[in-house]
Amino acid sequence: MKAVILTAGPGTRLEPLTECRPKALISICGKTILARLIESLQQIGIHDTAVVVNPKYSSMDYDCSDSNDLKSPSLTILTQDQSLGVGQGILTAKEFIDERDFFLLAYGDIMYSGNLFRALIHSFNRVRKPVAAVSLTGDSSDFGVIYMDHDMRITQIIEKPRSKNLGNYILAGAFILPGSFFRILADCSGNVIEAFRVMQDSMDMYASIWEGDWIDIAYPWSILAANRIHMKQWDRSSFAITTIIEPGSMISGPVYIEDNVTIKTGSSIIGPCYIGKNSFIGHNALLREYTCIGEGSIIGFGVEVKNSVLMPGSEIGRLSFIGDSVIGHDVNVGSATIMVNINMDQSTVHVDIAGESIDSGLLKLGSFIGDKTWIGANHTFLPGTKIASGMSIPHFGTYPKE
Amino acid sequence: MCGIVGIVSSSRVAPKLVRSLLNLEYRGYDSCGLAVCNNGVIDVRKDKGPVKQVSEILKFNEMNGMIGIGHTRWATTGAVTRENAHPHASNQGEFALVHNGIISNYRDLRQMLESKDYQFLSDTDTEVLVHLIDFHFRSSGDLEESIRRMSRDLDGTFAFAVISVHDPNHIYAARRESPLIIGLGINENYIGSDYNAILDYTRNVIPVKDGEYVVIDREAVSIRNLLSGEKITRDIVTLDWDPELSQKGGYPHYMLKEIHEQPSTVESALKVDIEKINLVCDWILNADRVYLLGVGTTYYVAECVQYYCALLSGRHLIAVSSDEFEYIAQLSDRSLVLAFSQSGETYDTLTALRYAKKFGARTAAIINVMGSTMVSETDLAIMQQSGPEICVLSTKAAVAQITIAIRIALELGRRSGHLTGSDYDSHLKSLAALPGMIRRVINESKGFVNNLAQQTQSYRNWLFIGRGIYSAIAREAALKMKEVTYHHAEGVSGGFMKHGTIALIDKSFGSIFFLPPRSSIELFQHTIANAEEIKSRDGFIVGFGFGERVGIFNHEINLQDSDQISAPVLLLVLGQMFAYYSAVILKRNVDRPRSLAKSVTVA
Repeated sequence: MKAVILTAGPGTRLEPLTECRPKALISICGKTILARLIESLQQIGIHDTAVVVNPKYSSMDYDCSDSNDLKSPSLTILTQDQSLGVGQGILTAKEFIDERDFFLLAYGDIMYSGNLFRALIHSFNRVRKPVAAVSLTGDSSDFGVIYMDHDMRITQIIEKPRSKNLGNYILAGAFILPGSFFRILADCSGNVIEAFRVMQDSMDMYASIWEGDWIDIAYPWSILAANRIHMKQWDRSSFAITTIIEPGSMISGPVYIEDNVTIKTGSSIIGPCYIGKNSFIGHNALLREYTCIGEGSIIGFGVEVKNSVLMPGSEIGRLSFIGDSVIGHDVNVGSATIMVNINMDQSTVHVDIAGESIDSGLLKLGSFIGDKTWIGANHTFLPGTKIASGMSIPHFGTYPKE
Repeated sequence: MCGIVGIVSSSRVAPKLVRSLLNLEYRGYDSCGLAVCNNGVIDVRKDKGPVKQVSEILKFNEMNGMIGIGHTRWATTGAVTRENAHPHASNQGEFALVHNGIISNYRDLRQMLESKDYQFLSDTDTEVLVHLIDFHFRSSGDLEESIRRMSRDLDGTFAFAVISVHDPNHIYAARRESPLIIGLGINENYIGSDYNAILDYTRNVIPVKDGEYVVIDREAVSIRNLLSGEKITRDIVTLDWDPELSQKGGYPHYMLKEIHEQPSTVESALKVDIEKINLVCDWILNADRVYLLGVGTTYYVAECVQYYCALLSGRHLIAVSSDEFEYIAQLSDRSLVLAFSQSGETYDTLTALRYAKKFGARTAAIINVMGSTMVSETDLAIMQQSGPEICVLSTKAAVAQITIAIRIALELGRRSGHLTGSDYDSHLKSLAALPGMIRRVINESKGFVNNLAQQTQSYRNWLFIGRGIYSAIAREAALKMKEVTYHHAEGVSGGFMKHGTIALIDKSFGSIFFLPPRSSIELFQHTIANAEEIKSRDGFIVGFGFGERVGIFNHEINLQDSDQISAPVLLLVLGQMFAYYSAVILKRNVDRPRSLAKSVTVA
């Protein structure tokens, strides 16, 4: 069986973190989301995979991806002509799939515990008919909600239900579909939900229930949730043999430390935490639960990081606090910068997403910093702050030199 | 309880025995084993652990032989060890035996046998059986005679199957109280604890009754009386259950599958023959006293039925937990006992029914499993037709039993004039709509229940509170919760709560309120008042109800408005789903919670 992964979505809601890369290439614990999907596919014996990409990101961007996902010889890169939605993305792969074969379709922005595709293929083998992975989430209003019969046959699909009284399985972004789906989809002018409905009427479609953790990485804070889903699966620690841990440091819980990491005296690392290769953790740093430090990062003296994802090449100046935040690639955070993660009135944090204030539903949420941004010393960022890529923010409260 | 199976065939039986054991695992799953006879030698392989694991390690599938027996164990006498696993073999390996039940005089028998130099390798009561057979065989030289003699030595309950090198073409089996059936195949016959053992191979079965033994070879079966040796003829029953239904059908757990099957099991319950319902009504109307019997979930079913009967027929039937029945029941030959049992083998309920019969009382039962002991022992058995329920926790069977009982209550109400014609019609209409409403609750609320379970996973203590019939629903939902999550959950009525239980409340204590629709306004307001009391003591409160948001709860799930017949059942479905998702999140063994067995066939 072949697989198609869709990564051409513009990822607007995830900005600034998708300004320089597609969201499938966001890296969590040393591996991109795309690399994890491909790994899951390989585990179930699918080695012939096409990735549909957005023309906005040049192949150069893909080549620069840290885990070299797209250099794998069995990957076929298909560029979507215009970014006209999921349906057009799927149709881009029409030639890649034989009309008579079933194929696996995955959205490139999902993260899950274990291997969701394995459950999907089991369900498919049971019925030998189209199958959709389904999951339960907090709010189903962003998804396609399904109704099913007791034999797991899908009886109805409702796209993005407006009613708040609907809380059922949602389509979890992974399917096994017949090659004829491309024709049905083209007949439905690329409307995916409509095509599913036609298929469900003509040949039945079955649900494959996924009860493991699952998230669709839609908002900047979803990256934090995805990071937690990944780390929660750890039941042991791993240290590269080249790790240098100076005396007086404390490490507890599951911690993954890659090659050539130095941890200076007085640091505390409370797992689960991940530290990418060639990183440096300065004196008296405190890395708390669910911290992911990308490769080649430098954490300064007395820095505290908690429930945050730092992409590769981050430099955090001394005495800073990074809480519930996502820091893009090659970002420099000046000394004594505080990313406040809680509102004074204990209300949930709102974030401006594509011009609209969206309630994250989270009581604690920090900032989101785009790639290659340089932040001067001594700043305080309010909860839910977003800073675009490539910005240069001067030092704060400096005394004039002259 | 345990599961036993035996197959005699014209081909290798081991792979089939393994499949049977997998299907029987719900009867017991702490150890398992096979004994297969080939070329005059019996090969016994057994160990503790689940069937899948043990059968892989010990290579069950490679055992050669066309006759064999198997066992899945749920320990009662003797710890969970390899030695205590069945089958047990005689000292010279001439006999191998599997057993389900409890032999109460096994210590005396063991002493007697040890004095005759029999070596005991296990701590089980079962091992005496195989040595006794060996002992009697040495004097009689006849296996059938040995089995008859042995059964006279035994006190207690049993269903056993035995194979022997002296008669390598026959399986011998017998029962007293523990269940046993015969399955008929082509060039192949079976014995098993229940239909699950043989469901993959045949649909034709013959139930074996108390005090009978059977001898089967691959072509014929014979049933005889254990005492007299007299031959018995009995009709073949053809099961109409689809074996597909017995498997998980793609669901991650049987419990979720069975929750999803509830709309169709309620539909089947609505199709149960009205003649039978009317007959029960006749008996109720003519009885001096009516007891509703159940234990565990079925006791809470009986409690619900108590409320439905009061509401719909103005009658108070007395719900009693089967295990306490003897101490409290006042019976005469004009009394009626109506029992509820999924398996039809529930020890406490069978005992209570037998006790009632001593007084000449009439007995009736609502049962799911065909050919079970209770079916043959009651004056009237109403089969609920819910299909096999595999998850140890009962969901669909309980809801179907409630449905049938509502029908009884409605007929009673109509006949006694308690319900007007139009009330009766409108209730009947609500009942007919119930499957659709349950389907809707399952399809539209699951996500919310899962959310709630995510947010409340750290609460280890719960009160489930309701008033009126909702208190019975709360108790049943609490039972589901503790069975599958191992967290403490206590069902209590709203008024009772302040007379003591409320002292438990602090901020680490969760409470779920089962709210009636607002059409039962008084009941609704009183339940809300209870919620306020707990809220003011910092308790975490959750509301399961209908219609508009109430607003005082930390978390609430509201279903579409409903009527007083359906509403309790719908909230029970919410309660089942809450228990299920809490257990999934806590990574519990959902279908086989620790310490529990599907049907409790021991005292």
